[in-house]
Amino acid sequence: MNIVVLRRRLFYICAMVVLLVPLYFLGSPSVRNKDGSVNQPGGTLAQIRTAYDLGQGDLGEIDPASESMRLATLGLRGVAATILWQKAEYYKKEQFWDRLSATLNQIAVLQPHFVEVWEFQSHNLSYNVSAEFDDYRQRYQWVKRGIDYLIKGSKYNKHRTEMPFELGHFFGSKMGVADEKKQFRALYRDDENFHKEVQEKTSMDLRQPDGLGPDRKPDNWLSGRLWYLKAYDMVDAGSAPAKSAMMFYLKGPQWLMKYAEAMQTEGTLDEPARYAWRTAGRDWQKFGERQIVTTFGDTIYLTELSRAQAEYAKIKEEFEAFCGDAFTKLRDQRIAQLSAEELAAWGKPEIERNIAEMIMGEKVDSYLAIDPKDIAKATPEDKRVDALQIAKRLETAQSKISHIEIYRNQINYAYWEARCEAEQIDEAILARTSMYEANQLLDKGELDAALQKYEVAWKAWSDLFNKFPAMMIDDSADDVLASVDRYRRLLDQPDLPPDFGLSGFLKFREIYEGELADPALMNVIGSWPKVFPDRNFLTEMLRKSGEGLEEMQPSEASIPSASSIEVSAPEGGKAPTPPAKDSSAAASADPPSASDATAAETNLEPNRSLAIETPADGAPPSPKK
Amino acid sequence: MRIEPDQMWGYFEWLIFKLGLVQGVLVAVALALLGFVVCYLVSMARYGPSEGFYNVTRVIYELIARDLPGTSWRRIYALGRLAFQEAIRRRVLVVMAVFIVGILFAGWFLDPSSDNVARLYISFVMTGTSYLVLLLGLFLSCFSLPNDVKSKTIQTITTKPVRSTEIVLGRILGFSAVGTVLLAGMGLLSYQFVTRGIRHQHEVKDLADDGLSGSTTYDSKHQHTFEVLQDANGNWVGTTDEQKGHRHEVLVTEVDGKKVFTLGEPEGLLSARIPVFGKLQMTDRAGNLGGGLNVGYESEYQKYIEGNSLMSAIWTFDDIRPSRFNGGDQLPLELSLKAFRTFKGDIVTGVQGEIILKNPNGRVESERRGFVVKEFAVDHIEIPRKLSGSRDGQPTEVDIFDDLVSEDGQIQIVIRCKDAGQYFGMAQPDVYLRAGDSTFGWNMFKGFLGIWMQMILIICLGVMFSTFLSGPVAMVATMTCLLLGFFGNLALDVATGDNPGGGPIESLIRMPLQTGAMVELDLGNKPLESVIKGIDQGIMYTLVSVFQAIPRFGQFNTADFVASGFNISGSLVARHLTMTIAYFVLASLISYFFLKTRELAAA
Repeated sequence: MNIVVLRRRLFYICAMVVLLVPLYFLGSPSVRNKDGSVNQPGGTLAQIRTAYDLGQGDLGEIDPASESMRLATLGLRGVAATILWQKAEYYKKEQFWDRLSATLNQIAVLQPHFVEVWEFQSHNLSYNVSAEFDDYRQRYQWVKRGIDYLIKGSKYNKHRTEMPFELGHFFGSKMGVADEKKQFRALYRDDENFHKEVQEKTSMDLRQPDGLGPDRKPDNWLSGRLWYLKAYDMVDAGSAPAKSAMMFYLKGPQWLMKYAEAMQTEGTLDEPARYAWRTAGRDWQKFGERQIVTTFGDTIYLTELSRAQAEYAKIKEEFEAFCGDAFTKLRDQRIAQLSAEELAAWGKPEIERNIAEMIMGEKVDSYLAIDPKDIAKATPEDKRVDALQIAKRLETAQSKISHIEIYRNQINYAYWEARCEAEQIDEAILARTSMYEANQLLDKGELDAALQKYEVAWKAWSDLFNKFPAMMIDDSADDVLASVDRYRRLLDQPDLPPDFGLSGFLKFREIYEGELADPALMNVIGSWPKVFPDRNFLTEMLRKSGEGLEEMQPSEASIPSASSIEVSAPEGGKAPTPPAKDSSAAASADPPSASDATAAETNLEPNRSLAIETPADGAPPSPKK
Repeated sequence: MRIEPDQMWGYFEWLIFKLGLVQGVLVAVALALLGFVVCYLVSMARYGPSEGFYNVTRVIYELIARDLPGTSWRRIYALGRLAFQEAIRRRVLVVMAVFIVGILFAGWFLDPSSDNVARLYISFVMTGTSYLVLLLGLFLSCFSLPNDVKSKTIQTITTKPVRSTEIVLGRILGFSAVGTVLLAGMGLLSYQFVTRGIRHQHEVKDLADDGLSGSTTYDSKHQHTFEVLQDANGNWVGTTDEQKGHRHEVLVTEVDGKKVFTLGEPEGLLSARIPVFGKLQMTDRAGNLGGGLNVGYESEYQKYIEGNSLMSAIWTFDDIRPSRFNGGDQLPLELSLKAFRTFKGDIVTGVQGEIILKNPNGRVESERRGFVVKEFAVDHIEIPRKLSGSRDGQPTEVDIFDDLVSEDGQIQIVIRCKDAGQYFGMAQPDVYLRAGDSTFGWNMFKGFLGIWMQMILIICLGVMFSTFLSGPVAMVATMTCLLLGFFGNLALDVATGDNPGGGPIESLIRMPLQTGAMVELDLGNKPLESVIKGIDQGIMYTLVSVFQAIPRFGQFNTADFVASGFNISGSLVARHLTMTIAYFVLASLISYFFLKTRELAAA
């Protein structure tokens, strides 16, 4: 061998050996115990990997198939995944489902830590592909296929809460909301093999007591909740939540309520239902006590509305006392500019106002809601600085109330709180049980017995509606209306008897569906039993709506319908949105009251800063004389 | 699977009526003329018009008068053996090792929970084999001759009394032999892999109170229910329900007076159904012949008929006789229809339809047989030979073969959807009569024969290009043919405008401009746009012309038939063999002319 070549080779070998030494110290791997804890930290690179959770093992399970596939693509993993994605789309278009499923597995193996792939494609399998099958049993198999896919993804991404969160959604919503929910839920309950498989793969025991329905078999809603609880535990252990705090923690209690609803729909109406609602109510309360960092930057608790209102009232009182004449003077100046008609409307309690008065009253309220800073500036110079400081505190307290209301309204917090309470009372149990039994008896052809049961049911529903009027506009009301229809056919009479127990409710529904219900009353329907314990909602509504209708006759076109009236609708007096049939119903966001308030404000003079003077608490504003 | 209409043609139907022969002759004549003209022009440029013409005709004459008659099979064998040994020296057996490694680790990537695990396994092994063997053929054939020329070892052959025909044929056959041996090995391993891979066993888990039915254990991601009955001889026989495309036989033995149930191997996973396809016509809402409906799917493979209307799908089958259907006691009909609901309706019950068998003369028809659609699976219906029906409107018993089949052997099967507002989707191959089964092993062999033919074509093309191009260039050329053969339809779609986005130049402009394929190209300069589109059209039509001349490799791929359990018909195999032989002859001739006119000694 040429001596020059030999020298060069020897030099290269020596250089490689020399370079290997620092490389060894930098790159030597960490040694871990069986439980995953670090035994020896390893080289610098290993330590950095551990510190930032960058190692494959830190992200999730290491799969030899995945690793070999990634190596085999020689760095063209992205290209390969893109080509496979296109193939998957083609297979979906041409309905080659087996090949689609196989291709999705290959994509996942190539990019196991790309969480969105797992989320997107599992949804594709469970929702889109399953819907292509006519037989609900086949559809169920494909729903499970999507769930399997997510479970596989969760193993690769053990710190990502998106996986258990989505699993919670699939178990609950896909099986419990679909048109074939009755069949899906039944199939799931009896699918012992699936329950075992899930446990083998994930150690999630779907048969634990918290996951069992009234028949002591896993219930899909409760199984979904178990996945959410797992996600919550992961957050407690340091993972980031998959959604904003409120939407993330909402699901656990919401699924309990869905479970209770499903149980009632399927005919379990007695103590198990009461217990389910009680548990749901407790969970809802706990959820309300959870700290939420808002997008405004402050921290709130959904249950602290009354405390925040009390705090505001205290500061306001202090502020008014401190400012003394300045406040009274400014307000009197503005009151002096109001017409007698406006003053009269404003002086009435909110729920007593008719539609025109309500609009007027809202305008006046906004006009008189003087910015505390303006008041502070109007105080004598020696008190101005202190006044401004109190004004600042007042504004902060006011913002807090507003934020709590916005967040509560987004998820209909008050409604669900009331619903949990309502479903536990005896009237509710009696109403649902009697109606269910009456329907069953009617199906069997036992007409007399059915009639008797219906009578009992109507009475109980009437009592329940009087106690919790918000139930007149949710799913329960739809069930009642369907049963009333059956009752009407059973009687074989064109009209219901004059003493029919739910005639008031039917009149209300007529008004409500015609969008003619009194908006002021609708604003407080959710909090009615708390705010007006001694008054009957239906009586007030029918009286007022009757008046409203009469008033409307001459100039109907000039008066906007209830739905089009833009008023400040603070949470306490907010009409609950009837929960949609979709699972996300409770999370359906009503337009937040702040925007309503803004809408109301824009009707006034421009450039006037009008803070919400009296944060609504559901109570009618006291007439200001 | 998708069976294309041309795959249902008979051999002579393709050769004569579908102009297969005419097309082949036209391609051969066109290539011959083109080759003659090009060769003459080249020769003319070098030697002048007369001598050039003389040279070209001399080569043709030598082929016909000397080289073809003088070709010795013994020398071809010797050269082929040489090529075989050379290939072995070049470590082609590595391909086999790669295949074995692939098979060993395939379990990691294949999903055993698939609805049709056999289809997945078969597709995997056949696709893997196909890729490996084609690459092997490509590398072997393209580099051999150029390397010999480069290393001047070719001179040791050409200085011997060996004819160019023998060199070409020796190479092609030698490499084909290597590929065949490897392919045979892969085929055997694949067969083992598939048959062993799908094997699974269940045991009886629960038994009903009557002791005659029950459910099995949950294995391989599924579970069966079963039922046993006593036959005429007093033996207990039974079978499980169908899950994931298969059943198990239930064997009952009595031990100490107690029944012991044993479940057999899966049946029906590895099948080779022999289908008899018919011709499909559809009637519209008025009951007149017309096309079906599109319910909104992008894919237009299946057309739909509306339920509870006059719309129907009519299949006409030819050559129907009892001997084709195992004596004809029953007429086995298989359906693979799609249901489309416009409203949910009854969720528990599937969309319902009815089947009517009709004599094409219109006088005799069977009663309406109801069925519930079974999607994405094969629904097997046995229609008894004798059934109720009507003749000239009068109710009577009818015999399928005597009354419903016309004198010229035709029968019509009419399918309707019964549910109002719901639809049935179907394509021509979705309904067929099952004329028995072939064996799976034989069908798989035919599938591998398709891969073998693709390999032969690649070797022919590789050897052909290597007679006048250097190794790498020959490989690129062969690879281009391979890609065009597989994906040439894309060029056709682009050229015809079916695939939006324009040709290569237009696409190149669209990319930096980020213009979507569905948006009209707008450069603000109409003449320039016209020029670009014109050039693109030229390029694409040139590509399409080339595409027409080269073999369509995709056609030879019959793995889908094997995977989906359809027998590969003899006529399809014969057709592919005919095309392979035609291309073999063509490529050999072209190779001969290039080798003959090349001055190998000067290389």
